[in-house]
Amino acid sequence: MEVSIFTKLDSLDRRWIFAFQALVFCIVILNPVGLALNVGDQVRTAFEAIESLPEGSIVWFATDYQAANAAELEPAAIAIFKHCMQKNLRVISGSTWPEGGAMMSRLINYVAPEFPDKEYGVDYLNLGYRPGGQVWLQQLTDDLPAAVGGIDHFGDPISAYPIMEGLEVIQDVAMIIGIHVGTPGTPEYIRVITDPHNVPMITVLPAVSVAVTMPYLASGQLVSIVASLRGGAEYELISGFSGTAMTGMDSQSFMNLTIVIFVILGNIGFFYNKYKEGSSGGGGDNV
Amino acid sequence: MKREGPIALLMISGVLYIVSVMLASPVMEPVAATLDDWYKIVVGFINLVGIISLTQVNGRAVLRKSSGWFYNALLIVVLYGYIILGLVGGVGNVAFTRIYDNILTPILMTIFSTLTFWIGSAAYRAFRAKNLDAAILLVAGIVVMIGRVTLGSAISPAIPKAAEWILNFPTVAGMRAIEMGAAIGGIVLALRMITGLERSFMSND
Repeated sequence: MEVSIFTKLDSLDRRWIFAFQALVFCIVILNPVGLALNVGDQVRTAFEAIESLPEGSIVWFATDYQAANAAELEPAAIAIFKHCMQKNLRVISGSTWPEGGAMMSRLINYVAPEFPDKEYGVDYLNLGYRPGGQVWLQQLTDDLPAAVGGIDHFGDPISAYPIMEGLEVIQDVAMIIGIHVGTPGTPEYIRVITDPHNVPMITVLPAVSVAVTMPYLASGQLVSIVASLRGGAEYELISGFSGTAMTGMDSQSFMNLTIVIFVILGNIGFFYNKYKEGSSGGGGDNV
Repeated sequence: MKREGPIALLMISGVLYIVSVMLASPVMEPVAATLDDWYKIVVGFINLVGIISLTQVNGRAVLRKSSGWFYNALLIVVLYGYIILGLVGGVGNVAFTRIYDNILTPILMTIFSTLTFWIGSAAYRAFRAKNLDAAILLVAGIVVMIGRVTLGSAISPAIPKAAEWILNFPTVAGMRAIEMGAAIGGIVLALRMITGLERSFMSND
């Protein structure tokens, strides 16, 4: 018996979906459409908050993510880091995630060549990873140099670095930039540092974490959320530091469109079968 | 004693910590600070437990020459090789950072990026308007997926606005309820553990 095309739409082999997605991705990456990008309210708020900081202020980069998330989060982190350097702010990073120190080293490697007059230990510092999660964050509010054991990511004493002048506790920083993907992350910072000590925080998040974090933004506990690659692209646009995020916007748009098209096709097949058989069906098991 | 010991330890440390935080007195402050340090040490040992477990599982596979034992051996060599490289040269040495930046990072980013294909396939299977609830979820999902990328505003300025509304109101309302429920559940669970009523973390009872 010949099977109708509508019947097939209900249970397409996943390999067709993968192949079509790969094809769309390749076409769009090789031939960018150049869809217009607008800077949203969230990114504008984040940009203006950093812009308003007085020269010499300390910004704490919480690099609580790992290499797997770098492609999505690094563009925003790099653009914000460059903005801080342009504004002559001091950037110090610390992490509750084991790969956090390495992530900050990557950010420094991207940013430092564009600012040859900026020095490690004077304008930016990588304190690296420390175990303890939320407990470590609590210790940062009591005595920051002691909480990091008096050394940076590379094991060198931080007392020798001019950037540490006037930084006794984490409440001394003017702003926290949380680059977060999980736990410990934004809620832990809010609970231990930003809420009890009134330290403003902007958080850079992967798309999947935005919905979970929105309540903190609505309650005013966060200054702003720079969300995903799109947030990174917007920050690149508003700051003028172009990077990899803007080039990825077209492919992200068309990949999402491809998924939506397949969802619609699946529903057409589902309703066709339902109409034909007079009973519910649909939804294969080969996901 | 095998069961009572850990429960007693949990009760004593739990009560001490709560009292020291609640009272915030100079007498109790060192107690909380000491418990904080102990916690960090215990967390540090978790990595060691992971290394021992990995060595045991993969070492056994190598000794038994199980199927794919070469990969188990490779894992052990890379694990200890990278640890030794870091210990000898420090985390700033060129070989250590180059391996991380040029091998590990691209591999992890690639694996994570392939999720988009699985998400596409999963969305195709799962987003079926089988009833009213599923239809609402389907429409909301499509609006957010299109509205959060540049294509949304290219089609119509109304789509990003609709996506923002979905994120700012229904999502916030739902997530706030879930998070408050989880927080209350967390407090109850902590109290049950401190008072010794909750013991499932030690065994199956």
